[in-house]
Amino acid sequence: MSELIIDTLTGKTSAGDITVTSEGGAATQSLQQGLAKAWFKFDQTVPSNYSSFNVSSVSDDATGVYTQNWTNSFSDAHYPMGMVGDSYPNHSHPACYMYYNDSSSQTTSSCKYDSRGGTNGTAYDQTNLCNVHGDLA
Amino acid sequence: MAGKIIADTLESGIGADIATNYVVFGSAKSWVNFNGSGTVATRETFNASSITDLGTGNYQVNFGNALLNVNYSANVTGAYTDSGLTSCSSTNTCRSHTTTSMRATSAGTSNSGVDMIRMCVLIHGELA
Repeated sequence: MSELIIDTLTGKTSAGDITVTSEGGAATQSLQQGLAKAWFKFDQTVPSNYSSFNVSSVSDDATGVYTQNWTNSFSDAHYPMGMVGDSYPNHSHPACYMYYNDSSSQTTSSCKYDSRGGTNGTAYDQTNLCNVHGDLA
Repeated sequence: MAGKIIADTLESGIGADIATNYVVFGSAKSWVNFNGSGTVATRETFNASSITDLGTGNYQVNFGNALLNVNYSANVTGAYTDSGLTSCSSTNTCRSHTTTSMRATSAGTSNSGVDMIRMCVLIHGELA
Protein backbone atom coordinates (compact mmCIF):
# COMPACT_ATOMS: atom_id res chain seq x y z
CA MET A 1 0.00 0.00 0.00
CA SER A 2 1.32 3.43 -0.91
CA GLU A 3 0.72 6.70 0.91
CA LEU A 4 1.34 10.30 -0.05
CA ILE A 5 1.79 12.88 2.73
CA ILE A 6 1.26 16.29 1.23
CA ASP A 7 -0.36 19.66 1.79
CA THR A 8 -1.22 20.60 -1.77
CA LEU A 9 -2.02 18.89 -5.03
CA THR A 10 -1.21 20.89 -8.17
CA GLY A 11 -1.42 19.78 -11.79
CA LYS A 12 1.94 19.53 -13.54
CA THR A 13 0.87 20.35 -17.11
CA SER A 14 -1.93 22.67 -16.00
CA ALA A 15 -2.02 23.75 -12.36
CA GLY A 16 -5.81 23.60 -12.12
CA ASP A 17 -6.28 20.27 -13.88
CA ILE A 18 -5.43 16.93 -12.30
CA THR A 19 -6.99 13.91 -13.96
CA VAL A 20 -8.07 10.75 -12.18
CA THR A 21 -8.78 7.38 -13.74
CA SER A 22 -12.41 6.27 -13.59
CA GLU A 23 -13.57 3.43 -11.32
CA GLY A 24 -14.09 1.21 -14.38
CA GLY A 25 -10.79 2.25 -15.94
CA ALA A 26 -12.31 3.38 -19.24
CA ALA A 27 -12.00 7.13 -18.83
CA THR A 28 -10.16 9.92 -17.08
CA GLN A 29 -11.80 13.02 -15.69
CA SER A 30 -10.80 16.17 -13.89
CA LEU A 31 -10.30 15.78 -10.16
CA GLN A 32 -10.89 19.45 -9.44
CA GLN A 33 -14.18 19.71 -11.33
CA GLY A 34 -15.61 16.68 -9.60
CA LEU A 35 -14.99 17.90 -6.08
CA ALA A 36 -17.74 19.64 -4.15
CA LYS A 37 -16.70 23.27 -3.67
CA ALA A 38 -19.00 24.00 -0.73
CA TRP A 39 -21.67 22.34 1.38
CA PHE A 40 -23.68 23.24 4.43
CA LYS A 41 -26.34 22.01 6.81
CA PHE A 42 -28.16 25.04 8.14
CA ASP A 43 -30.45 25.39 11.15
CA GLN A 44 -32.88 28.26 10.67
CA THR A 45 -33.95 28.22 14.32
CA VAL A 46 -30.57 29.60 15.45
CA PRO A 47 -29.83 30.57 12.65
CA SER A 48 -26.42 29.11 11.87
CA ASN A 49 -24.80 26.23 10.05
CA TYR A 50 -24.51 22.94 11.92
CA SER A 51 -21.50 22.27 9.72
CA SER A 52 -20.19 23.65 6.49
CA PHE A 53 -17.33 23.72 4.02
CA ASN A 54 -16.14 26.90 2.27
CA VAL A 55 -18.79 29.05 3.97
CA SER A 56 -17.50 32.18 5.72
CA SER A 57 -20.79 33.50 7.12
CA VAL A 58 -24.57 33.40 6.78
CA SER A 59 -26.92 36.39 6.52
CA ASP A 60 -30.53 36.28 7.76
CA ASP A 61 -32.24 38.43 5.11
CA ALA A 62 -35.94 37.83 5.76
CA THR A 63 -38.30 35.09 6.91
CA GLY A 64 -37.07 31.94 5.18
CA VAL A 65 -34.50 33.89 3.17
CA TYR A 66 -30.80 33.50 3.80
CA THR A 67 -27.48 34.22 2.11
CA GLN A 68 -24.54 31.86 2.38
CA ASN A 69 -21.24 33.69 1.79
CA TRP A 70 -18.39 31.66 0.29
CA THR A 71 -14.85 31.78 1.65
CA ASN A 72 -13.30 31.07 -1.74
CA SER A 73 -15.22 32.59 -4.65
CA PHE A 74 -16.47 30.82 -7.76
CA SER A 75 -15.26 31.60 -11.27
CA ASP A 76 -18.75 32.64 -12.37
CA ALA A 77 -22.29 32.83 -10.99
CA HIS A 78 -23.68 29.70 -12.68
CA TYR A 79 -22.39 27.02 -10.33
CA PRO A 80 -24.98 24.28 -9.71
CA MET A 81 -26.43 23.74 -6.25
CA GLY A 82 -28.30 20.70 -5.04
CA MET A 83 -30.69 21.94 -2.34
CA VAL A 84 -33.02 20.11 0.02
CA GLY A 85 -35.30 21.45 2.73
CA ASP A 86 -35.90 19.30 5.78
CA SER A 87 -38.65 19.87 8.33
CA TYR A 88 -36.35 18.90 11.20
CA PRO A 89 -36.56 19.85 14.04
CA ASN A 90 -40.28 20.64 13.75
CA HIS A 91 -41.39 17.64 11.67
CA SER A 92 -44.71 19.37 11.17
CA HIS A 93 -44.35 20.27 7.51
CA PRO A 94 -43.91 17.20 5.30
CA ALA A 95 -43.28 19.10 2.07
CA CYS A 96 -40.38 21.49 2.32
CA TYR A 97 -38.09 22.87 -0.28
CA MET A 98 -35.56 25.57 -0.94
CA TYR A 99 -34.92 27.66 -4.01
CA TYR A 100 -32.66 30.24 -5.47
CA ASN A 101 -34.11 33.56 -4.42
CA ASP A 102 -33.70 35.12 -7.87
CA SER A 103 -31.13 35.18 -10.64
CA SER A 104 -29.30 38.24 -9.32
CA SER A 105 -28.88 36.66 -5.89
CA GLN A 106 -26.38 34.04 -7.00
CA THR A 107 -23.00 35.71 -7.28
CA THR A 108 -19.44 34.41 -7.34
CA SER A 109 -19.09 35.10 -3.61
CA SER A 110 -22.53 34.26 -2.19
CA CYS A 111 -25.93 32.75 -2.85
CA LYS A 112 -29.29 33.94 -1.51
CA TYR A 113 -32.04 31.37 -1.30
CA ASP A 114 -35.65 30.97 -0.20
CA SER A 115 -36.99 28.04 1.78
CA ARG A 116 -40.63 27.15 2.18
CA GLY A 117 -42.84 24.24 3.10
CA GLY A 118 -46.29 22.88 3.77
CA THR A 119 -49.11 22.89 1.28
CA ASN A 120 -49.23 26.65 0.87
CA GLY A 121 -45.54 27.37 0.53
CA THR A 122 -45.21 29.47 3.65
CA ALA A 123 -41.88 30.09 5.32
CA TYR A 124 -41.13 28.42 8.63
CA ASP A 125 -38.10 27.26 10.57
CA GLN A 126 -36.45 24.27 8.95
CA THR A 127 -33.11 22.72 8.18
CA ASN A 128 -31.48 23.35 4.80
CA LEU A 129 -28.96 20.99 3.23
CA CYS A 130 -26.96 21.94 0.18
CA ASN A 131 -24.10 20.64 -1.99
CA VAL A 132 -22.38 23.09 -4.30
CA HIS A 133 -20.33 22.17 -7.36
CA GLY A 134 -18.84 24.26 -10.13
CA ASP A 135 -15.47 25.89 -10.72
CA LEU A 136 -13.65 28.03 -8.16
CA ALA A 137 -11.94 31.24 -9.24
CA MET B 1 5.47 14.91 -20.07
CA ALA B 2 2.59 14.77 -17.65
CA GLY B 3 3.31 13.50 -14.14
CA LYS B 4 1.46 10.48 -12.78
CA ILE B 5 1.07 9.28 -9.20
CA ILE B 6 -0.45 5.98 -8.15
CA ALA B 7 -1.33 5.98 -4.46
CA ASP B 8 -3.81 4.45 -2.04
CA THR B 9 -3.82 7.19 0.59
CA LEU B 10 -3.45 10.96 0.72
CA GLU B 11 -2.35 12.60 3.97
CA SER B 12 -2.14 16.30 4.68
CA GLY B 13 0.68 17.97 6.56
CA ILE B 14 -1.47 18.14 9.70
CA GLY B 15 -1.94 14.39 9.70
CA ALA B 16 -5.46 14.10 8.34
CA ASP B 17 -5.46 11.25 5.88
CA ILE B 18 -7.98 9.99 3.39
CA ALA B 19 -7.94 6.93 1.19
CA THR B 20 -7.77 7.87 -2.46
CA ASN B 21 -10.89 5.82 -3.17
CA TYR B 22 -12.82 8.44 -1.17
CA VAL B 23 -11.49 11.07 -3.55
CA VAL B 24 -12.37 9.07 -6.65
CA PHE B 25 -15.69 7.61 -5.44
CA GLY B 26 -16.66 10.79 -3.60
CA SER B 27 -16.20 13.17 -6.50
CA ALA B 28 -19.18 14.19 -8.59
CA LYS B 29 -19.08 12.50 -11.99
CA SER B 30 -21.28 15.07 -13.67
CA TRP B 31 -23.04 18.33 -12.88
CA VAL B 32 -24.91 20.87 -14.91
CA ASN B 33 -26.80 24.13 -14.49
CA PHE B 34 -29.14 24.73 -17.43
CA ASN B 35 -32.02 26.94 -18.54
CA GLY B 36 -35.04 24.68 -18.91
CA SER B 37 -37.40 27.38 -20.13
CA GLY B 38 -37.71 28.31 -23.82
CA THR B 39 -34.68 27.12 -25.73
CA VAL B 40 -32.92 24.76 -23.35
CA ALA B 41 -29.28 25.75 -22.88
CA THR B 42 -26.52 24.80 -20.47
CA ARG B 43 -24.97 27.55 -18.36
CA GLU B 44 -22.15 25.54 -16.80
CA THR B 45 -21.39 21.85 -17.00
CA PHE B 46 -19.01 19.05 -16.15
CA ASN B 47 -19.32 15.79 -18.11
CA ALA B 48 -22.79 16.64 -19.40
CA SER B 49 -22.39 16.71 -23.18
CA SER B 50 -25.87 18.02 -23.94
CA ILE B 51 -29.45 18.48 -22.69
CA THR B 52 -32.37 17.13 -24.70
CA ASP B 53 -35.73 18.88 -24.31
CA LEU B 54 -38.32 16.08 -24.11
CA GLY B 55 -41.30 18.33 -23.39
CA THR B 56 -42.60 20.65 -20.70
CA GLY B 57 -40.68 20.02 -17.50
CA ASN B 58 -39.01 16.97 -19.01
CA TYR B 59 -35.30 16.98 -19.83
CA GLN B 60 -32.64 14.41 -20.64
CA VAL B 61 -29.08 14.97 -19.41
CA ASN B 62 -26.57 13.24 -21.69
CA PHE B 63 -23.19 12.33 -20.20
CA GLY B 64 -19.84 12.72 -21.98
CA ASN B 65 -18.11 9.84 -20.21
CA ALA B 66 -20.52 7.00 -19.44
CA LEU B 67 -21.33 5.80 -15.93
CA LEU B 68 -20.35 2.26 -14.97
CA ASN B 69 -23.93 1.19 -14.23
CA VAL B 70 -27.42 2.67 -13.78
CA ASN B 71 -27.27 2.77 -9.99
CA TYR B 72 -25.72 6.20 -9.63
CA SER B 73 -27.14 8.89 -7.34
CA ALA B 74 -28.73 12.05 -8.74
CA ASN B 75 -29.86 15.29 -7.15
CA VAL B 76 -32.20 17.57 -9.10
CA THR B 77 -33.00 21.13 -7.97
CA GLY B 78 -35.06 23.62 -9.93
CA ALA B 79 -36.17 27.22 -9.80
CA TYR B 80 -39.47 28.08 -11.51
CA THR B 81 -39.09 31.82 -11.68
CA ASP B 82 -36.41 34.42 -11.19
CA SER B 83 -38.69 36.79 -9.34
CA GLY B 84 -39.22 35.30 -5.94
CA LEU B 85 -41.07 32.39 -4.48
CA THR B 86 -44.78 33.07 -4.64
CA SER B 87 -45.49 30.72 -7.53
CA CYS B 88 -42.41 28.61 -7.16
CA SER B 89 -43.72 25.40 -5.64
CA SER B 90 -42.42 22.46 -7.64
CA THR B 91 -41.21 18.90 -7.43
CA ASN B 92 -38.02 17.94 -9.20
CA THR B 93 -37.27 14.29 -9.79
CA CYS B 94 -35.05 11.98 -11.76
CA ARG B 95 -35.83 8.76 -13.61
CA SER B 96 -34.90 6.58 -16.59
CA HIS B 97 -31.28 6.16 -15.57
CA THR B 98 -29.01 4.70 -18.25
CA THR B 99 -25.23 4.70 -18.28
CA THR B 100 -25.18 7.53 -20.82
CA SER B 101 -28.16 9.67 -19.85
CA MET B 102 -30.80 10.43 -17.23
CA ARG B 103 -34.13 12.22 -17.27
CA ALA B 104 -34.75 15.15 -14.93
CA THR B 105 -38.34 16.29 -14.56
CA SER B 106 -40.10 19.17 -12.83
CA ALA B 107 -43.74 19.55 -11.89
CA GLY B 108 -45.82 22.32 -10.34
CA THR B 109 -48.45 22.21 -7.63
CA SER B 110 -50.96 20.55 -9.97
CA ASN B 111 -48.44 17.76 -10.60
CA SER B 112 -48.21 18.66 -14.27
CA GLY B 113 -44.92 19.42 -15.99
CA VAL B 114 -43.49 22.91 -15.60
CA ASP B 115 -40.41 24.33 -17.32
CA MET B 116 -37.80 25.56 -14.86
CA ILE B 117 -35.80 28.68 -15.54
CA ARG B 118 -32.94 27.08 -13.67
CA MET B 119 -32.29 23.36 -13.32
CA CYS B 120 -29.30 21.92 -11.47
CA VAL B 121 -28.39 18.21 -11.67
CA LEU B 122 -25.60 16.61 -9.61
CA ILE B 123 -24.47 13.03 -10.33
CA HIS B 124 -22.43 10.80 -8.01
CA GLY B 125 -21.50 7.21 -8.74
CA GLU B 126 -18.88 5.29 -10.71
CA LEU B 127 -17.61 6.00 -14.20
CA ALA B 128 -17.18 3.20 -16.72
